[in-house]
Amino acid sequence: MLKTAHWVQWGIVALFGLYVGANLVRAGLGDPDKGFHLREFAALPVIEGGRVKPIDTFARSRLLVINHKQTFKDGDGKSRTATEWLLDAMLTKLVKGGGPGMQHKIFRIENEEVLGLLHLEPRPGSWRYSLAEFENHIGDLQTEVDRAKSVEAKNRTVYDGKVLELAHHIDLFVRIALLESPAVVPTSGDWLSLGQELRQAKGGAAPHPVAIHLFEALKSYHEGDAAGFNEAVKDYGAFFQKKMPELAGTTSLEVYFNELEPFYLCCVLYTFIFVLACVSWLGWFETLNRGAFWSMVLVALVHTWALAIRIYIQGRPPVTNLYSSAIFIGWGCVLTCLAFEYCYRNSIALAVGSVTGALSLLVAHFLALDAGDTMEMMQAVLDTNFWLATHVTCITLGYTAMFVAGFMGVTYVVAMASSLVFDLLSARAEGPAGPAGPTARPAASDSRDGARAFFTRFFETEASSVMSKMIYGVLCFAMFLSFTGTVLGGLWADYSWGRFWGWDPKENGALLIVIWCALILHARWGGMVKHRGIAVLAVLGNIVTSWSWFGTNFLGVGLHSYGFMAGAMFWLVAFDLVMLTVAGIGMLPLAAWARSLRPAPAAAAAQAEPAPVAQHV
Amino acid sequence: MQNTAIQAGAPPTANGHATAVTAEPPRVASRLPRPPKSPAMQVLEVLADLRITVVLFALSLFLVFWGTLAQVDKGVWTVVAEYFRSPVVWVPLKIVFFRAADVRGAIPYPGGWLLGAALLVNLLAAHAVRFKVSWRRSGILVIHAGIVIMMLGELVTGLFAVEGNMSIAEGSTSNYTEQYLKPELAVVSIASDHKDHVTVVPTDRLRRGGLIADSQLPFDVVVDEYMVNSRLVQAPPDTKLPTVALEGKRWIAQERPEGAGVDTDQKVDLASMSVTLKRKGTGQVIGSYLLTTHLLQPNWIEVDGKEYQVSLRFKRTYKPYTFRLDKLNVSYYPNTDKPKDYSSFIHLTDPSQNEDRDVRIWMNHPLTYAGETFYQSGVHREPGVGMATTLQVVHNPGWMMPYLSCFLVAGGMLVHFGQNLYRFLERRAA
Repeated sequence: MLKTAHWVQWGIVALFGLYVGANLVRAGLGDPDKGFHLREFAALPVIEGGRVKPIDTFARSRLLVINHKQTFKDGDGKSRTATEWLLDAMLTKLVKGGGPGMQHKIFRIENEEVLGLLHLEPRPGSWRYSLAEFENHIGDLQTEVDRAKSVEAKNRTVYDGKVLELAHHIDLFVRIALLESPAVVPTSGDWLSLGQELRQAKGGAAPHPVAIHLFEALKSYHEGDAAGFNEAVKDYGAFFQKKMPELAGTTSLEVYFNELEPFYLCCVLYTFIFVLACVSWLGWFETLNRGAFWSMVLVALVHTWALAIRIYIQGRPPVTNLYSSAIFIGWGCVLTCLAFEYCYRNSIALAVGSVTGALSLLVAHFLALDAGDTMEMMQAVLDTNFWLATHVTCITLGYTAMFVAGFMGVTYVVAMASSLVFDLLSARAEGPAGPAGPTARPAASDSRDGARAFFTRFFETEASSVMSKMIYGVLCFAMFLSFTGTVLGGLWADYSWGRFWGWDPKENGALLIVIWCALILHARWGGMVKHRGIAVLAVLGNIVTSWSWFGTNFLGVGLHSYGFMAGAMFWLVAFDLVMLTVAGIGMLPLAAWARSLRPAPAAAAAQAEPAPVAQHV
Repeated sequence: MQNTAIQAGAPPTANGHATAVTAEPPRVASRLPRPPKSPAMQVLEVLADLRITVVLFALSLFLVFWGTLAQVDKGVWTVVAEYFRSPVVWVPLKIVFFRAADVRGAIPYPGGWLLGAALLVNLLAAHAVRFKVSWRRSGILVIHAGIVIMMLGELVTGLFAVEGNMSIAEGSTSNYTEQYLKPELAVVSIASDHKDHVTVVPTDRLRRGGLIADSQLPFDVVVDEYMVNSRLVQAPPDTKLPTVALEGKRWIAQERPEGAGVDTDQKVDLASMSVTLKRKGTGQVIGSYLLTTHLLQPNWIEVDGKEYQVSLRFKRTYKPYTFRLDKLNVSYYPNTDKPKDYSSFIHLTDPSQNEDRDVRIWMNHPLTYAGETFYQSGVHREPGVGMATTLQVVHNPGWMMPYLSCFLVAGGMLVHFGQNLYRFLERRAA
């Protein structure tokens, strides 16, 4: 018979499982028998950005860039899919007056000057406008675009940037409305867009079957003829099934992947695990810790599966751009922390893993807003799976290890500070002469060493030395991975253009991590830092790593940049300031203050502890 | 765990850490008394201090960081020369404050050569003081041997490596490389034996400006203005500046900022300079000229009945072999203008080696020939000629060193950290 604690523990895991399972099922739901077979349509292949992808991915990535969301709200405020938007957009030119494609409020305009230029009223909350609302002022916009383009990129104002951004979004829409994008008709070379195909057909050439089916589908969709639409989509799919059978499986898998949004799912679940880990320190440690641990294993499986699917679809090693590095770093952090949690069972690694996992997936989410399709093609010189697999993976794992160590350092400092706060509170409650001291707290029957006591008597427990060991171990890995990765990058450069080391910003960023690791490890070996010192240095390591990962990308952008990168720069600086603050707090002699609050019992407790390490924090 | 590493000269507990507890048992005391040390050993022990290592690492960290920030304004090679391949660098205060404040002035800071040398001395001293062959220390020895090789490799590269470029249009041949970082003044006179007699003035001398008088030059040269990077603009009708003629119009050079290291499109800096030529001895002005790397054709100048070709051109190195570009292949990702691959189909002839064969050079597939390596670098349209390929040509006697170093360091780390991990797991199992 299972005890209540076990029931609860597995109940937690089951809840996570149910949530994941429900999402897996939801994403797999096919089209209803009656009505439009939109899902089947969404899985049809097109080419855009140099790769064959389902219509679904094309529609989502375009809408994501324009609307900042993969869905949109129609006139009735109902949420509709990207594929529906694409269909309406493609009908714009074919339908008199533009049809609903012109009416959808998808253009996000927040800048007051741009709103003024287009004679639009600010619409707080949504900030979305339809093309029909400002098409009369497109001429004014064009004048401003021409002016902004003539300004050198470095000197553009925020307004210039916003004007160009909106113009780009409109251009993306117009290309779809004019049927110039995506490329749908397969040929031996470049695929043709429906617009190109229609022009050729006007010249007398027999239209390609794909063009006929697509045209039929669009027509039926406009007329509300579901049967006709479904028939055309079926024939459309049958063509590819016959001519390019290798595509069908991949594109429908990608549609499933898009529908599931596995990284978003993981991000949400990691957040819940973090909460569970924190609550476990307050009480019911064993149950909550085990429940959270196995739930995290489950979520990590989803994360792993999603990474694997990306690798399969793209035919590339896991890291190819900034977006994929973010999801890979999150994955690495989670796995590392799971291993630590398995060894130590104190919820520390759970908290660190879930926070880093959730944060990196959040970063990935925002990166996707900028990129649209996150599986872009590589520049010619980067087009090599061998070096991507070795150098890039190694470097990214190095970042991972640095962040794990850094966030463990943060946890260390938080534990130290909260230990002081707890001692202050208890000292006040008990009065200076309170004989009971920390032992007066309720007995922590279900807490292991370093768990509940972790936040109260941090310095007398083994937690301090355990954490320091973890940080040290991870830093050793970070050193190895960063060094190897950096040197492999040099070898790649030597192999590709004959220069092992060029001192360019990205290389220097990687070198900074290696130097920082070497500094920490040598400082520790030389006895210059001990537990607290290594934790503080690891926290500062977060700044070095965030610079190497992100900061170098801002160098060429300049201070007057706009849009996403300016926002990202703000968050980078904010992150670094937080880390500096944490490191600063970590350098305060908190342990001494804590001890001074309760001299007699603390000394007794310290003697009772098996580990003497706590004395020279 | 930490005992496996090189220890500082002083015992770990004696470093005066603020909160270190004095009650620490004097573990090192048992090793005393030692035999008296030689003065050389005493010096070595000071040099080998791990605290020096940590300070040097911290200094290097800021050097590398500032050297990155400096690339916002300056070209990467200028920064490399100033920051990394120099003993001392004057870091502008603006850079020191992370470009957050616009302050004038600069501070002296140890450059790459100095810090590298100091680290090397510190490392060698540490090993000299504590050299011991044991399984436990083997990883550390191998790691540091690898690091030494890597640092020496960068030294060898910095001193001896030569990078050049060979640009060949489709269907034409080339037998020389150009160094885009080194524009030089070339004065060519046709001697009586129909051979070109070439005199060149190197970049550094040109940058300094002023009067250049040399017995090898047929006239004195005064550099009026030297522009590291420039563009040609149409000359106003009343200009007093020297001009060049191109497509039936007059052009003057306008200075542009040096291409910054952080620019996403790395372009070659096209230098220009205006010079005044004077007769030797008398100082009589022959004329003022605009010389620019924008133009491939030299200026023809007649002095005392003799004709000279004067030009500012990228430093050339002539080779005993000839490359002919037969075909250039550029493939793109479908429906994009993003190149997927460049290939140059080259015919190589070298009479001195009896070589006469076809080779293909493409992305990530360089050709190694005659001690040099040829990399596919880029493709461009040469006005009036057609498509041309650019090959990067590198001669680096130290190219092997990073490979060896990487192998040693990675292997050493595996051994060392592996030992740590093994002991850690063993203790956990116990």
